[in-house]
Amino acid sequence: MSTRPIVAVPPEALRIVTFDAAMEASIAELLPRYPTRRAAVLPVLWLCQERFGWISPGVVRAVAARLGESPAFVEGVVSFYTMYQTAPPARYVLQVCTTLSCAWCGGRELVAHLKERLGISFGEKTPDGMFQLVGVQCLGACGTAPVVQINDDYYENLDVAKLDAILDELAGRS
Amino acid sequence: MDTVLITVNGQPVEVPAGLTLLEALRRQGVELPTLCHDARLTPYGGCRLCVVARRDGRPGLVPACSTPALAGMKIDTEAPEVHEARRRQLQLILLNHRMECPVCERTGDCRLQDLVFEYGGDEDRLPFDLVRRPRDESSPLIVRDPEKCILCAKCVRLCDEAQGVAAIGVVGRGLEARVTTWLDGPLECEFCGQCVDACPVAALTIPSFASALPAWQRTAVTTTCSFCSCGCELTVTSDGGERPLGVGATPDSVPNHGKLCAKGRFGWDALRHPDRLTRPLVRRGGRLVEASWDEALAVVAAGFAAARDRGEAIAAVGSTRLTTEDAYLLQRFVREALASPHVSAGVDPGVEALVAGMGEVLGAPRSTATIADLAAAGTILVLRGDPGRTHPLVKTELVTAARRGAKLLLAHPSPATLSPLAAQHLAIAPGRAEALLLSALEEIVRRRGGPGATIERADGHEAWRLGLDPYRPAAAAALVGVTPAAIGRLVDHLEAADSLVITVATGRGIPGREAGVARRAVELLAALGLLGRPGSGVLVLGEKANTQGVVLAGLDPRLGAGGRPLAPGSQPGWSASETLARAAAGEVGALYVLGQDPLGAWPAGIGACRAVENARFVVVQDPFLTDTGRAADVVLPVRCLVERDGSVVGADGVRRTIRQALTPPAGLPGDGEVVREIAARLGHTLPAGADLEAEIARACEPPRGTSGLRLTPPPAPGAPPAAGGVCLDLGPQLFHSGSTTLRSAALLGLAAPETVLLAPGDAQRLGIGRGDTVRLSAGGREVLLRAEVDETIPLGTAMALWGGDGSGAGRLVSDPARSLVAEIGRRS
Repeated sequence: MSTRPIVAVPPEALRIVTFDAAMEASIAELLPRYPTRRAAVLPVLWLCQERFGWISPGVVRAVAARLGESPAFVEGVVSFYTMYQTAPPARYVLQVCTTLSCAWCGGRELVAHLKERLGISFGEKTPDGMFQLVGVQCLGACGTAPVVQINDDYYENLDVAKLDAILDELAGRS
Repeated sequence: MDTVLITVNGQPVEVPAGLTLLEALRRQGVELPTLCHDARLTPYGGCRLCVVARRDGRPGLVPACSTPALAGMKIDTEAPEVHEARRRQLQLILLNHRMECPVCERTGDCRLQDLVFEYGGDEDRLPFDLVRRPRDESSPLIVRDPEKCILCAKCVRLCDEAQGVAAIGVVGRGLEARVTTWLDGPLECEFCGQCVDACPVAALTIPSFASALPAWQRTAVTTTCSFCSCGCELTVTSDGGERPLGVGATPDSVPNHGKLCAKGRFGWDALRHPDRLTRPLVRRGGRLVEASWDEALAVVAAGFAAARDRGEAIAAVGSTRLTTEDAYLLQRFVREALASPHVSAGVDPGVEALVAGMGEVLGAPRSTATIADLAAAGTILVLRGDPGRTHPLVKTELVTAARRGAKLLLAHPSPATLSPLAAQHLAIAPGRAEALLLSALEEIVRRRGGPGATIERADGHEAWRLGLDPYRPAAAAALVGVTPAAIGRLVDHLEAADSLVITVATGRGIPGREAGVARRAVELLAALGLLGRPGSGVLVLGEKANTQGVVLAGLDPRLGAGGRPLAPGSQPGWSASETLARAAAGEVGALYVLGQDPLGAWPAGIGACRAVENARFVVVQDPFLTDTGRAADVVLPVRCLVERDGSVVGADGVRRTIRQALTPPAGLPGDGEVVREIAARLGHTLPAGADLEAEIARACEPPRGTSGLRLTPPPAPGAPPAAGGVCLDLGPQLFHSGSTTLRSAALLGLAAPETVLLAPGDAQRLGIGRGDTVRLSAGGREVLLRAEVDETIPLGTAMALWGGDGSGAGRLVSDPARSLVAEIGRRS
């Protein structure tokens, strides 16, 4: 299993963010692909999320300063999209599809099982910081329903047993 | 022009290509309801009230504001399903809008209320609880009520697109969406108030304008703003002229397109400051006591007559805040009734840039570019000061220009709001804009092997060319405070320009000779072959509202009306600073000061104190009791510009009407009426009515043709500041720039405390930390200021936040034209 855990930088270390040379190099490589710096707000935020695990207010300020935008503008962008994490996420974020195809093919059972096994609801993290449960709309994999996205990877054609095995392995790895 | 044929409600109409349906329909006189549309902004498509039905085979409702008008479209704007969609949409908007129309301050002046009256939507409210959110009263000037907000986002988009600030954003989505500042903090912005003007409901309001008077009982007068020289059109709503209940501008106002700044919006509380005078004061037994107008005017007339009859010098110091008419009457009065050539508009940097700058180099004391030219210019060079602090409208025009692709070149020391948008920011040393231009000229002339035909035709071009030599970038860059390569890049940008507007900001305290900068700017255009090219030119930004108008009125010792030379044989009179020097030496019999406060507001080095003391008879005419007034023999109270009818001429040379929007206290007269009355008592009749208007109109006429280029040899370069001292940049603040803002509690509440900003390197070298009290000394004077460390300040430079008056760092200035090098140290 290749799913890499998210390593979220703790909030106290993300109050004031300065980009290091590697980050600056990645940003410099991105910018020419966009007609304006504003157009690069989304991908630069992605870079930050990959690097820091989530988008803290300090990251918002740093991105705004780097792109010549205001923090209020960048915050508006961050808060519009559900895929930017605005609090330190768990090591594994489980995005469970709740839309029609998955729901019919066993998705509802997966949701019920996950909530029971992890003891959390949508939008919550397990106390050990291992798993986070998010209910999402169609992930575009109806042919292999039901599907759960864990961090950047899709897990398809799931049932409760397969999902348990996956969670056991992820939990046992760390 | 390309056109397309569309069908609107069954009628074929031809409309220009490239418009949205909404724009096309409005040009046809077909109105559509909108809440989120603003012609100045990118289409948003948020409120869905402008939906129209398509009848051309693509059925459905489309938002007209964000749908292009294409050939063959058939549109129905009033079909039943269109009306039903609008009603439903209003129903959805009202879901999350706290309805309290009977007690709402916008009632009768609310777009949402109007539309619900027209389309309905309130009769069957959906079962839904309002999302409760508290009013935000953390900013003293603008209150935000999120429960009334309908998320049209006009405020957010204006703040971003027009103002370039984006202090607020739409945060969250769906029902969570709300307009707020970053992290819900208090508003930290330029307080231009555009957001409030744009709000269609009462989600944004100004508490100081709150009133129980309903909208339909308020009076509205449209006039011209009297703060800076941008000439913004503004509309003052009031309770019959007593108190302002709203200050705004319409999107089609010229030149500001609905934009105002904090001063124009909030500064009017100054008019009711306790210093405001209502009755004349006359000195009796050593004390100023109230007197009747008749008594006071008799004393003034007698005083002037006595000085005239004794053959003593009489001098008048007016201001660039007089109306054009009043300035014209004043100079006629002094020159004719008092037979004195000594009449000026005070120590005024804008007048110097126009008269000694533009007038010297081109023969006419006028700008050669307009604010409207900024909208089309390919390249814009911004000199001397950040317009974000001195001329807010120009700043917003530059934001718009940069966003559409214009190349912005900034050359001023202070950190600039525009820096993120600029192609190049040269953080020059304070007072070195002229040296920078000379250096750029040297580089251009050397690259091209000669100065070009325009300059070679001008007299004295050889001496001029020789004088450039010491400004070779390699030699002069250190003086300018930038690298030779930076000057090279500037010249690259300039040589690539096919149209170039150069702005020359003026403001009290901005160091360096503004006249020299204006002249070199014209020479630069000439060297680039752009002189006289439409769309290129120099825009001198006068400090006060009528800088250009008083110059054209002839209120200058060097010029007559229309900016024309004095009659042959007549000698130029004294400048304001010479007037004060002569007065201090006891050579002035009568001194007449209008709209100026030399004692309180001029640099200490000019020596106003001894001048007022030693002039035999001093008359001060001013809306307020100033420091100079307190020392005068007679004080005559007058109206402020917003209480006055007349005209002012903006920086763009356009003459604009001002109208009485607020009632002056105690029926005060205007400056011109007082001057006319004094003249009458001296047996002299000044023109009035149609005669006066004809003379003013003639004076303000644009010049016919140009008189060619007059070159001034470059001055020898000065030396860079000695090590140890720092060069002070002393420009005005956005919220506080002079004697009116000094009396506005609203603006002073926004202004930064008197602070000196230091570069981190200098702070470290001098052992100064953030918040320390430091001593600044120069020319034998010293002041104590709070220190801040700011990484945008270049090494060797310090910026003193200053209010343009005689206090704080202003006390260090002895010659406003010279760079000011101050010693800085910790208070021991």
